[in-house]
Amino acid sequence: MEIKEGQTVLDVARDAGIYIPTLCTLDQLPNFGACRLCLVKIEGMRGFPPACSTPATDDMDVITDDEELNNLRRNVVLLLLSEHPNSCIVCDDKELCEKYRTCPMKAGQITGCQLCPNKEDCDLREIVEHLGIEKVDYEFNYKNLNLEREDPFFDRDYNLCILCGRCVRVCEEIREMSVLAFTKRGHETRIDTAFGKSHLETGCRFCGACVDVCPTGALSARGTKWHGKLDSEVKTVCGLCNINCGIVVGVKWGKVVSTVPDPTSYTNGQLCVLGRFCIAPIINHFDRLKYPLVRKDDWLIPVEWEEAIDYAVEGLKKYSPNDIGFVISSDLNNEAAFMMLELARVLGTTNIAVGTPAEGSVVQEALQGGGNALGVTHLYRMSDFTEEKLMKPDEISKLKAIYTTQHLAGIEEAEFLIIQDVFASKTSECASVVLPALSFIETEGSVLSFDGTLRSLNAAVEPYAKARPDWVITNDVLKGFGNENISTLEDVRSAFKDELKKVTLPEMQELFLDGKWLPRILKENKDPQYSYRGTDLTKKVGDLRILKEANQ
Amino acid sequence: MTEHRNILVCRGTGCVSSKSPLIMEELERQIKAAGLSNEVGVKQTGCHGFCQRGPIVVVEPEGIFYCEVKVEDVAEIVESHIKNGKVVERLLYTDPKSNEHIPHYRDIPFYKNQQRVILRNCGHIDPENIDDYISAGGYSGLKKALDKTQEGVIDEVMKSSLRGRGGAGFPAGKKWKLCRDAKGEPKYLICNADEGDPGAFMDRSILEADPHAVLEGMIIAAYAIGASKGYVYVRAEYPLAIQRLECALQQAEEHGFIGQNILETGLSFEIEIKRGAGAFVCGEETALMASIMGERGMPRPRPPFPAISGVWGKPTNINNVKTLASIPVIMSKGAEWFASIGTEGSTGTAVFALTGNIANSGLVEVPMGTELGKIIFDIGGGVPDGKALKAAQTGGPSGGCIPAEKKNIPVDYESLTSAGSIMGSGGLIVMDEETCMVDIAHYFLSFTQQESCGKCTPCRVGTKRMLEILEKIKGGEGKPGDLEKLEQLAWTVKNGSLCALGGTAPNPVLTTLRYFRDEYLQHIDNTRCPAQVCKGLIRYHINEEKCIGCGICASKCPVEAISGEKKQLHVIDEATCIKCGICFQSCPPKAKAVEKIDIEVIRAED
Ligand SMILES: Cc1cc2nc3c(=O)[nH]c(=O)nc-3n(C[C@H](O)[C@H](O)[C@H](O)COP(=O)(O)O)c2cc1C
Ligand code: SF4
Ligand code: SF4
Ligand code: FES
Repeated sequence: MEIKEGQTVLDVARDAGIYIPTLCTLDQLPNFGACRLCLVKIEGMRGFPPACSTPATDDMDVITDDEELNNLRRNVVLLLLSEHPNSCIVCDDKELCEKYRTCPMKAGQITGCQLCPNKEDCDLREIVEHLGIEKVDYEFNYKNLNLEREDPFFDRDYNLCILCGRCVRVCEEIREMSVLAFTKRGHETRIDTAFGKSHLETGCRFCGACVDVCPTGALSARGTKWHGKLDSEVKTVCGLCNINCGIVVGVKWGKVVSTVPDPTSYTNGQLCVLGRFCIAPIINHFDRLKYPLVRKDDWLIPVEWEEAIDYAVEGLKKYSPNDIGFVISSDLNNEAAFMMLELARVLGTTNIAVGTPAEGSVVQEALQGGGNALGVTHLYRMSDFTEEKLMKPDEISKLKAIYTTQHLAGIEEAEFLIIQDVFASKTSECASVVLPALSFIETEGSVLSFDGTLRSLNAAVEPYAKARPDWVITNDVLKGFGNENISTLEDVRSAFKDELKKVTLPEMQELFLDGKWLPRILKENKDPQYSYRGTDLTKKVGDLRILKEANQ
Repeated sequence: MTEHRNILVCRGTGCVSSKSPLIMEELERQIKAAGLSNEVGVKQTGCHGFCQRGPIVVVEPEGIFYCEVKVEDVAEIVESHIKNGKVVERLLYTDPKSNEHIPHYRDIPFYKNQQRVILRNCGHIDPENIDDYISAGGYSGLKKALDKTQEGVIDEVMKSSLRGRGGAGFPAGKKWKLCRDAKGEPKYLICNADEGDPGAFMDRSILEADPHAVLEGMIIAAYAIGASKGYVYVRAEYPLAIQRLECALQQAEEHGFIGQNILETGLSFEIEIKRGAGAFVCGEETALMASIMGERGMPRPRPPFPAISGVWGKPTNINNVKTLASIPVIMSKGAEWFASIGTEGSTGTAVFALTGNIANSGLVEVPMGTELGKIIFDIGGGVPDGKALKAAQTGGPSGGCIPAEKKNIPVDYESLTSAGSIMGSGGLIVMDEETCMVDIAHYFLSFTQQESCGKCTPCRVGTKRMLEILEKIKGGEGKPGDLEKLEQLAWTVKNGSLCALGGTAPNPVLTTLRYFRDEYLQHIDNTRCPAQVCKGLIRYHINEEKCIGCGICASKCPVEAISGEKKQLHVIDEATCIKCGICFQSCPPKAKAVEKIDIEVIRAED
């Protein structure tokens, strides 16, 4: 067996495909040695050293599995089970239940796996099955702790906690927030915030890292915990700020039900509150724009797409180029932004505004400037625009006809207003035409992240209602002006891809040397802006509003 | 007036609490008033280890040992002894066996049978006076060490075969060498003075009575290892020890023993005192280091050992107070001398805090390998009140119970381990025949259970489950199979735990099961506590024939469970009785009417 410098016995075993049960280890964290399930036998060493923290050497003779070790492991797991709800493990109907799910899923107090939010991927249960435990010889000692639901986003049921310490360590060592701690001593040891305050009071950023590492159902994301086994998972990147963290979208019944960090992403499996908890509620919000609408007799009436596009084209044709303005949201993906610039070019106008540009350091711009700020900037530069040439929002609002891709206060008064957006807003209420667009989670496309890397967006679910991808909508408008050059996503992309690929920001590489760069920049800065295409997300996600108010 | 005299007043924690400072003031005042200040010095010392008989006053050079001295006695001491050379008989130590006065320190059995190496200066020098320490040979070991190379010092310690006195008994020289050879700068040295065993006060006494010995040991160790910074981790509940240590530190600095360029050798070493918050587990070396770094005192897996990666990730050597206090004499008297004391595997002496059902309790130092019985009977004066010895627990709450029939066992690391116990850091609790071994196991285990840091599963949950079984057995609800369950759990906790707290916590249970299994079975099979200790298995009853109707029991009962008219028979209402046993203790000896009865016996009668 080959041993690399610094590898532990556990590392070597895993590389060789040998299973050793563990509960407290975590790839990103230094070993902790608390759960005592990885105990092995090593020739020449006393007792049962833990595989997770014993450095491997070439000449080591290790036994990872024998009757005595299994007995020890079983005894340790039984101790955990003596206090961890376990009725399903000993239930006679276990098999039938697995198959037909006869128990109701949702329950106030969790007594067994069937009622546990984590049952689809419970590390403890896996180990129980591996060790073949079918009976718990102890009287069950329910800790009877209160369910903690006062804080936004996630629930805490420490009756399920096995004190592996992963949450404490991820919060302290990766997020460097130290919100969580071990408190009390002996059998009464608990995980809690310092002085038992609420998470809001302790300055928790609700990044959810603790929830993600919890091997049991003790910490669970409130909005998504009852969906059970997912139908599919899709990797993509978050489009809410220009860091564009890697996420894995959980899909069930054709809907986005969860987003969790993608451990293989350049963001090393970390997210902020937006990416972790807010995407699903935003995407599924009832206030999404569903159908194309046109204004008839002062009413916005649902119409077919052709009619809406015609209405938009005919409307625009009534104005001279100088009277027409475009608002390009910096949350648009590259393809969509490119199409808007292309339309402006074809119409012959230079009246372009870019939504909510941010100022500050590269990192601050990335966090506050929109999900594809850098991409949008490079694209307008390609079209010979500069920051100076762009219009300010108050200039644009003076124009007669406006085509906007986001909500923007002040433009409602335009004579002819086209809005192509995801959410209903003040702007859409006043518009002449409303073109429902898909969000970043439902479309293919690309973004240019703040580090100058082009990243792909993958559609996780089928289009929402009648909404269409931004680039398709704008392209249809363009076609109305007789320009039929573009018909596929590849066509759009080839127009700018090479140019955007040239963008490099070598100084960023230094930032990435630190594996914990994302938590660090999040800690040093405020959370990314709580907005998407001009819409205030705290108005869409109640828990986010609570967090914002607590931090004011 | 002949030669110069010194009156030594003990100002250890024990004697201070019995007002020795007032005695000292009074002595100073009266000596001055008598115009004897030039001939007679009044000096404070640290603990003599016999606090039970404090306050202690010793008159040197004769070595007359006065105990249980009161402020009112001062006049007589000055008048009779100091002025007229007549020893105050009534203040002398009385041997409980022969009932004779023993005037001289050296003749008192408690001291006669000890060999004091680590406690060499305790009670003899003024801990707040560095010159006193130096004139007792202090800091000569340091000078000798500095004349050697660093390797030379380590060699000497290795040759002495000194083993760590903190519990595990790891060879000190070997540990020093590991740290010296480890890569990384700076290196740290820690003196472990956390001493969390209940009833143990060896380390406290040394720090109070002879702080320079510990500092000198630390400086020598620092030199050998190449450490530039030292910590003394001492529990905050030891204010006097901290105060003496601070005082000693300042004096040592003034004398150039600590600080920059020590004794012009170019060696630099500074020491910081860290106050521990008092968790037992903080005495465990990795938890202690976490605590020094401001983290929660939780052990971590080793390797890496502190010698490779300790505080702030740097090579760190950690030793117990007694280990370090042994170093100066090893340097000054030589490794061979030290190794000639004790046994081959365990050299030097062992220090115990002797407590429990023992006539003389206190600090005891004997050569390693001394028979347990010798400590209990010759030094400790045996079990009082004519009761028989049942067992002795060594190693504090995580040690094991050694039964009376094994009283010939030599007290050294190997023998204690093979008996299922440990040397630990030096608690020695003597138990008489009225002790219930199930109760004792429960008592010790409940301490370790509460002090578990809560990190690892076997220790956090396993000890709790063990305790629950013991509680049931004590309450008469034990079931067949419980002992096997207990053994399985003990095995799991012992072998599965992360640190030695969990690793040793089952010892009291395992040893009592090994030596007193029958007593457990009596509880389970016959619902009977042979020692009549377990409350669930006894009841109190007033013997109709013996009761004299004095009413004392009724007046003392905290729950008013006893009724009866004056001069009439009294009766205990069992439904109300909480079995505190106060009636049993307070019934006048001439009546002896309150009886403890096994519940089982009652059942048989019904
Ligand atoms: C729970 C626990 C408590 C301990 N408490 C102490 C203590 O109070 N003092 C001490 O010197 N060593 C204590 N130790 C032992 C230390 O971990 C360490 O072995 C010792 O300080 C090393 O010094 P030595 O080599 O001089 O014995 C304790 C160990 C454990 C597991
Ligand atoms: S959500 Fe993030 S900041 Fe809050 S406790 Fe969990 S890991 Fe720490
Ligand atoms: S054995 Fe006990 S004290 Fe030691 S790490 Fe485990 S829980 Fe903590
Ligand atoms: S994985 Fe090694 S102790 Fe938990």
